[in-house]
Amino acid sequence: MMDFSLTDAQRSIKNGIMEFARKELNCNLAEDDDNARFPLEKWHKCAKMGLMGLCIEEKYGGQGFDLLTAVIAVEALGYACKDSGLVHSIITHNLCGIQISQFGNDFQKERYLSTASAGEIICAQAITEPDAGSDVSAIRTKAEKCSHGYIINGNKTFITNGPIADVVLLMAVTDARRKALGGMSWFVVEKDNRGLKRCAPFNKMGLRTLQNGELVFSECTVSSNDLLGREGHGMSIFNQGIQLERTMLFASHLGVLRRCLEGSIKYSKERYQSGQPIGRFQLIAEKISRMKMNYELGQLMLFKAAWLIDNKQRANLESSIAKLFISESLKDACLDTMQIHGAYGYTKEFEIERDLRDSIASTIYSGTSEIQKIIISTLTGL
Amino acid sequence: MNVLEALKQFISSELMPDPNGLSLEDNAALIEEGIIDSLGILKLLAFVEERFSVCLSDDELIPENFETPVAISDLIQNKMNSSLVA
Repeated sequence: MMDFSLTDAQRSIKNGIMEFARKELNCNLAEDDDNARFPLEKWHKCAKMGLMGLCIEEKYGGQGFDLLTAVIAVEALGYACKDSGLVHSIITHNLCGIQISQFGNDFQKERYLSTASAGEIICAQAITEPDAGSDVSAIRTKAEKCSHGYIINGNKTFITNGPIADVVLLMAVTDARRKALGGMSWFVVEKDNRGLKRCAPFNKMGLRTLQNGELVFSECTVSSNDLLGREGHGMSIFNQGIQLERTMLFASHLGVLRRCLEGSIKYSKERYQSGQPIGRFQLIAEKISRMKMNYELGQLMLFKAAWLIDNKQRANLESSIAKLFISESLKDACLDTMQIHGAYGYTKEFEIERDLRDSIASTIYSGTSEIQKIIISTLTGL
Repeated sequence: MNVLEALKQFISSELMPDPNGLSLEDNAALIEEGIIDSLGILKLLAFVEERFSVCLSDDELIPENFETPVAISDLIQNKMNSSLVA
């Protein structure tokens, strides 16, 4: 028998996070957005709440959640915290912690997991390059073996948390002849490494509190102990990580979608035109019913992807479907919410415009919608 | 049709740009020659798991296991034999 209900523990986690976020994370939103300021004080509050190591083992100070529970937690955070840039930053940090937990050697786990769980370090994952976005296999940052380890040279761009990262998980080419499978590896690079330069953050349309920028590696020397996982296993590690990213990050977007839905329902009941609440007009009701449908379907797909991963099964197809569906649904929901709210929706005061600006990039990162469609069609045998 | 032949037929018809070209060798360097790219691996995995009823974990996606058709065939055979023993 299939049981779709949350456990008592999951319900408690979800409610606790929503209450915390509403109380602690929704101040100074407009100013931080205007100034593209990363709210470090909120980061530390989230760390105290235990949000930095959701899936990291308890012995390292993490919550030890399975992925499904983490997804429920992250959806709650996305719903109740209106700073989507902060939420995105926290989830990226969590994904780095999971990567170290899964592939790190004992030294790396001891050195990074406790401080990552405590939010005392900020982690970033460096994959994308100026000429390698959708085509990850085209990355050119090189890690050449030397007597004491590796020397890394190359540029990464659009790196979430990059400008403020204490620890960077970097994907680089270690064998150019072998291309995607066998030719790439991951490394852990700390901010104090003289060969790493963290550049200023990009000035973005949305997710403005999220610090996202270039990282330059110039004769960056790391030891063999800084290899994450085995040499040549870069693509395998990437493949596992991207399924997690498409699941966890888009759980938070599902939370925003729910916020749009509830806000639209409330407004449609309260706003009267022609002597009745606008929710009675079919064309308004249609938008809301579509939002509701998309929220429910997105959640089902997300939960399935998380369940598969928790049960050590492949979820490339399911995580791609979830990512594509939720991101496109979120953009539509934000546009519809603005339309439902009319001219008021267009003002900054109602905050819908910020959600809309924040939603636009969701169909770009973690693999564009176009790439997801290619993955889905490939995996359906075409 | 044995595992190796089934594999080669799939790779030739689904992953090679010119399926009517040269026949695939047992020891063709699939990765070095660019026959399998990152998307191709996903397609191949889906085929292998469905056709041979085996489950490959992501940490088995290592170069040694996918370098040649023979390497992949050996991996599949080992998985099939393990599930028989279990």
